[in-house]
Parts: sequence; structure tokens; C-alpha cells
Amino acid sequence: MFKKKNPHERATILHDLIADERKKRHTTTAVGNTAEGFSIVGTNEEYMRIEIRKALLDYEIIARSRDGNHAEENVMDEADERSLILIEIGASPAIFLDCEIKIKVSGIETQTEFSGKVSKNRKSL
Amino acid sequence: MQEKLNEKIRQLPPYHQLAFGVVLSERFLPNYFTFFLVEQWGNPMVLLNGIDLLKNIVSREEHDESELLLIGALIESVTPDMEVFPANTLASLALDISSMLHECFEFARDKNPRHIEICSKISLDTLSLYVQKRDQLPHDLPIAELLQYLSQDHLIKTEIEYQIKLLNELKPTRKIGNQLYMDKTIQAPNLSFIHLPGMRGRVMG
Repeated sequence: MFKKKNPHERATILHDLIADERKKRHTTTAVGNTAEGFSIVGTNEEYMRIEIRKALLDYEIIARSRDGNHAEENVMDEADERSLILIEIGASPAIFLDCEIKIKVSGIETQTEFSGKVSKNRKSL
Repeated sequence: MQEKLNEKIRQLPPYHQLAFGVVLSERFLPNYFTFFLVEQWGNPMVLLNGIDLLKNIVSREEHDESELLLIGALIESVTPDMEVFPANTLASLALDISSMLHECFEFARDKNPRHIEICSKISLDTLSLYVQKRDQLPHDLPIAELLQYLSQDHLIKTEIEYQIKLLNELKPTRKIGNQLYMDKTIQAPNLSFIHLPGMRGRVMG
């Protein structure tokens, strides 16, 4: 089996496909690799942007965006829903504290740095 | 199709290119107003000021860097971040109009037509998002099927025709003034938010 890119690198590559800088700054793309050989790609928008969808590979699954979820949470929830085991996850910007806790509790690895801050839409954990 | 639009954009003189970007952006302002009214967040007046400034730059054929910095910062402060409005399509549409203005400001600085090409692309992206939401397309519809579906949508076909017609009309000899903005911005895409799934109660209040 070939080695997939680490999810942080893949999330960054996919996110960089967004042409306009402002949208790039205000949205997130996350990627999770599963033990079964799939990758799950998530966004914090309701629909993933077309430039990213065009670049997805055969083994990359688009996560459904759930109300109030961050991109990383959509990836984790999609894995749960499909009974896939998420082993590593990465995101285009730093991961907020609320997602950091969920990632650590689940024992998922990441090379994306943590912001150490609670995300702006959540006043508490 | 985007390449055909880009080619036509590149054939225009710089301030005609900017006028094209301004007209496109102004037509999408109602999306920001809808987001503002539903979410009670942001400030549409800032975007209106941005449009006024851009029209002024087109008319003077010069820009003031301090004004661009100020309006850029103001618009950034009223641009929704998707971390705050996750999976909120109205926020995505509001972000798109803010991005279109941002590209116009960048163009005013460096006159790189790429910014206006992106502006045109965002307008079609915004309609693609709207159509996916309106028709409740599956989030993971295969890309070839999605592109085929979008290419046949009336809103998107009309927008492409509109942009081609406008680019054809923006000949170098055409004077850019209020008449152009009045004639062209009235033909905004007809997006009905009341009919969007899950939106009726929120838009109607």
C-alpha cells in the first residue's frame, strides 16, 4: 500500500487551491487518514468549494458538514458515522483548543499546530 | 468558460477592468444584506462605502493607499469567519462578496487582471453554492456530475451570458460613469432566500 501524504500537508495543499486570499483566511479545510486506507476531507462551509472538490483523489471522501461543526469535527464525525478508525488528522490553519481536546481524547495524531485558543464561536469548552 | 471570460477581461484597459469588477461586486451586495439581517452580524454600510470608493478610483483613475488600507481593514472586520458561522450558507455568500471587493482593492493597487478574473470566478462560485443549497444537492455529488448540473442551471447560464455581454460592451472607448453602474447593476442575479430549505422562518423573521 502506498504512503499517503500526512494530513496536515494535504489539508494545506487543498486549501491553497482557493484562489482568493480573503476566503482562504476565513475558511478551513481538514483532512483525516483512516486505518482502512481512506482519507476524509472536511470544511467548515456547508458545501466544499469546487476548486477543492476537483482536486480530490479516489480514496478521499467528502465529510458532510454538520451544523455548528468545525472542519476537524466534520472529519471526526464522518469517520464515526462510517465506522472508520481515524488515525491522524490535519487542518489548514492551527487547530483551536476545543478541537485539540477532542483530537487528544480520541488518540488521533496530528502534525498541525494547536492555537491554544477557544474558537471564536464557542465561549467555553 | 471561465477562461473565455478571463480572456475578455484581459483585453480591457485597466480601469475598465476595475469597473467590471465593481459592477459584478455591487450586484452581489444583497447577499450580504440578507446575511446581516438574518444573523444580526456585520455592517453592510462598510461594503457600500467600499463600492463608493472603488467607483471613485475608476473615475479618478488613481487611488490613495491610505484609503485602501482603511477600507480594507474595515471590510475585514465585518467579514464573517466560517469558524464563527460554520456550515452557514448565508455567511459563505457574505464572505464571497467581501472577497470580491478585496480583489478589486488589490487590483486598484497592482493592476493585475488576475484579481478581476478571481472576482468573476467568485461570482460564479457564489451562484454554485446557492444552487447546491436551493436544490439540496448531496454534499458529495461526484464532481463531474456537479459541474454538469451547474452548467445547465438557468441562474448560472444567465450570469455567464451577462458577464460576456458586459465585457463586450465595456469597449475602451466607453465612458465609465453612473449611467453604466445604474444600467448594469440592476441586472443582479435573482436569488430567492425565502425558498431555500430551512431558511423561510429565518429570512421572514
